[in-house]
Amino acid sequence: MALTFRNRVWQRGASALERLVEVVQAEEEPACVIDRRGVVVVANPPLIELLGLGDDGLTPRLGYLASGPFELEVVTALFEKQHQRHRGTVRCTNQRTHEPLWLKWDFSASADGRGRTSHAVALVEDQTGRINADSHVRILQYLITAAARAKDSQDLLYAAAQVLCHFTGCGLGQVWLPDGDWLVCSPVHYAHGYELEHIRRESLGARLRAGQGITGLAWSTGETEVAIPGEDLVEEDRAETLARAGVSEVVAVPIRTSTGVAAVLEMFVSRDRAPIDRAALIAKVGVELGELLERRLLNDALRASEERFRAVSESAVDAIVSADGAGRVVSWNKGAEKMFGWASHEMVGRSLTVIIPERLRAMHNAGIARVAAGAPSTLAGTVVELVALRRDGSEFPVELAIGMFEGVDGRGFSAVLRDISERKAAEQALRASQERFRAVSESAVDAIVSADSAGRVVSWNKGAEAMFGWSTTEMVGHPLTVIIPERLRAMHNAGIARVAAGAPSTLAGTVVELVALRRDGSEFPVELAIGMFEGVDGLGFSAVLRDITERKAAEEAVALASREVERTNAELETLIYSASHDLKSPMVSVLGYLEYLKVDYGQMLGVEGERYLERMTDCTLYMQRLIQDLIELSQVGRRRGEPEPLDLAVLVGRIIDEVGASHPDTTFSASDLPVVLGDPVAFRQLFTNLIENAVQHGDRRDLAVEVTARSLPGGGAEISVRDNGQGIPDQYRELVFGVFERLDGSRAGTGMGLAICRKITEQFGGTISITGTKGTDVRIVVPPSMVRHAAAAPATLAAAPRSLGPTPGGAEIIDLTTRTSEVPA
Amino acid sequence: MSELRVLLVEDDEDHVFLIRRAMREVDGVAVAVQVASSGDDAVRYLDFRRELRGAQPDIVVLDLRLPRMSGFDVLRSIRENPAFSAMPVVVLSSSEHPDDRDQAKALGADDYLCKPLDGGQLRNQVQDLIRRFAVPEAV
Repeated sequence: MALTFRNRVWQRGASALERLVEVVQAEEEPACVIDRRGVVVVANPPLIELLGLGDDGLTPRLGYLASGPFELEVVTALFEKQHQRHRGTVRCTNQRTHEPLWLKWDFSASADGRGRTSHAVALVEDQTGRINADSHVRILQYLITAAARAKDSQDLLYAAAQVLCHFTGCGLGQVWLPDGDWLVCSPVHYAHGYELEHIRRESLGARLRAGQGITGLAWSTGETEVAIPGEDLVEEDRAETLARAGVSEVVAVPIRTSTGVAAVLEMFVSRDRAPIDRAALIAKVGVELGELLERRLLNDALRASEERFRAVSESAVDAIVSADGAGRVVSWNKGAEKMFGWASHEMVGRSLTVIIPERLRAMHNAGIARVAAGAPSTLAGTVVELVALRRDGSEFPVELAIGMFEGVDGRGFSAVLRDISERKAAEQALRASQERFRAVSESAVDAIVSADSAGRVVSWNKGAEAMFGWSTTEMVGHPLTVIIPERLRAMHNAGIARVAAGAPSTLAGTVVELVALRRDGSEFPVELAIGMFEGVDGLGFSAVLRDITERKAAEEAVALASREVERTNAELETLIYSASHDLKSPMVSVLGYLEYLKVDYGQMLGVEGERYLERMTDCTLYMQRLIQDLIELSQVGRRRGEPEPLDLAVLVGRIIDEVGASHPDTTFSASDLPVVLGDPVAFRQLFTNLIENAVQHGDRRDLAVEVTARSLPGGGAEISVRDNGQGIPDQYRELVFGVFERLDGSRAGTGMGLAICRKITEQFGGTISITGTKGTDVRIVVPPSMVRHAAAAPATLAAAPRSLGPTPGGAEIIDLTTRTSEVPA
Repeated sequence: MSELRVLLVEDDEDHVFLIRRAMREVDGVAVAVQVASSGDDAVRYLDFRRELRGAQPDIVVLDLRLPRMSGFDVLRSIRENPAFSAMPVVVLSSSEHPDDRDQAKALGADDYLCKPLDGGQLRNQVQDLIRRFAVPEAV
């Protein structure tokens, strides 16, 4: 259409001005005609409407409608330089509404009859919408750039104030920040020139309640609020200041983030500097600014978080590693360097698979791929135990906590790995120990029970189930008191409380006998071994209980038998005591009468009669000896004299003296006898019996009796009483130790001598036996505890005994007194 | 030469016969033997003699195993009575039990003799005893 209009002007050539005016007047688009001075000759109604021109018919100059410089520019181009066309977009103002307008003027020259340009026709296009949209975009571009440059969110708010002031012609922009219930005017502001400086001074540090003034209102409503001083209600005290400063509008823009209004931007529009209705633009920018600010705040938080992360990560003993969606390492802390043996610079950018054992890599890669494809991670947010690979190829157990995050470049993983080798080893040891305990506990016949410090059952084995009749499920977690008889419970609870309060347990580590209670209410004796241990939850008790019903019964039977034996022994002793008197008395009488019979009537009886009397006397005396030996046998061990050091050389020497006196043909010798700790009466009886036995049963005139000793390896001594007599056949060597056992029919012995000897040796813990191939060799073993001086070494044997030569009686006596000095005091 | 008065406390008639005979035969010593065949008889005899203000025995020869009242009890009652506390008491018993010997000594017996089996030995022992206690007056 514009072209059509131009063509018509063109075709008419130097037609009359009237025809130009006619065409312009008929044009539907805004259009006008100017003369060579820049005066608008005619403006058609659409242009009059667009510019808000009055109906007064005045034709203003182009300079008034657009701007002086533009008028000059157009006149010069068209009328001086004779350009056929000239175009320009200029900011104009609707004269009635004062709205800013962006108008594109397209001038075409119109020649007069002489071919000179006399007028120009302008087609005017309203570009305001487009330009405004453009400026919004440009503001945003500035803001984004400023935001990118800003160090932090405060810096961004400053940049925003600056950009908005520039684009809207505001003289001042200041930032209000919420502080609890108050909105505080912050130091962040931008002032264009000095006109509004006093407003700024008055505002700094001011505090507003929600809904107070337009700023407070914007804060509470979250909507942009605009006020015109003098018309709208602005804070009364500021109204005058604002009016004086020529502020035409105050715009409060809330900067909204997802968490609410983060700041309120207060912009002051000066009447003489900026076109009105900046509010819409500012409000629109406010929304964008909110988003920018939010991102900036997040960024700040992220950076702080990253700082913290790095600090934590670098100081951590754990390996802290992050990787991108493809499984390539993004960060690798010092802990990881130490744990795996790979340096950070070696690992960053590299695949994580190097720390994964070969056999697990396929699984790992599959997982990475699955998650990269959008599937949810099965590991993220969990803690798992895995095996990891060190640089040196060794494997070790790790605890792995994985987190996923959405990064700028897609999904990423962060992992915290902890070396749990030691924990694993400890766990394994614990498990093994628990397993052993369980195995022992379950197979045990004893009840094995553990309880916590409050006396509640923690474990209860099969033995306990069988013993008490309560199952594990019934007992665990319940107090132990159910197995304690009512009357003992108070004591038990007091003990538990005492130990729980920190007192040492009187039972721990000991074995005691107690009474326990079965489920059926029956009581039974138990042996109780209690241990205490320090568990995870404090002190605990473990107890092993053994049912000792049978043992108790056996013990009672033994005690009963023992009492019976004691009673019998006492009876026996009484019997023997009686025997020693009651049997002896008649014999004393018989022997007494025999004596007087011999004295008074011996002559009358004759030789034969006297022989009968002798036989009667012998028989009575033999009977008396039998009784005497029986008494002695029963008395062995009953006399409990204090053991004293006995020099056997001295003791045996005296016995040899006594016995030797009545056996002149026998040779005696004694050597190397030790000093022993023992009952002197028993030892005297022992050696007397043995030496008399040897003499009585030797059955040869040149009998030799030898008493010697030798040390035994363990410290004991073996004493030998040896003769060269007829000896004892092998089959009788044990028999002869029995009571009344005699191998010949003579009345030389009562058959109780060796029985008494055996009883004596057994009494002191030794042994006695018979050996010997030539003659009889009785060997007595004296235990180490009784030997004070070991027998001398065999080498000294020959020198030690000193023969005194034949005694007057004929027996050879060995002098043993030289050893007396060795007897301890 | 005065007579040695002996109180023989012995329940066994044979022993009484043998001991009295042995005592009779001590050369130069007249021995008057009073026999008590039980412990309580002996104690009664002593009390009776005291009440009569008669002469008390110069020596008591005491067996231990006696009916009703043992020799120990007799010994104890003699020693507890101030009138007899200084009276010589010799125990002549069949028992060789050391406990009996110790107890007799503890109760104040002047000697403890075991009855020997040999008739001749018994005779000698009794005669030695008589000579021992007769000596002061015999001289």
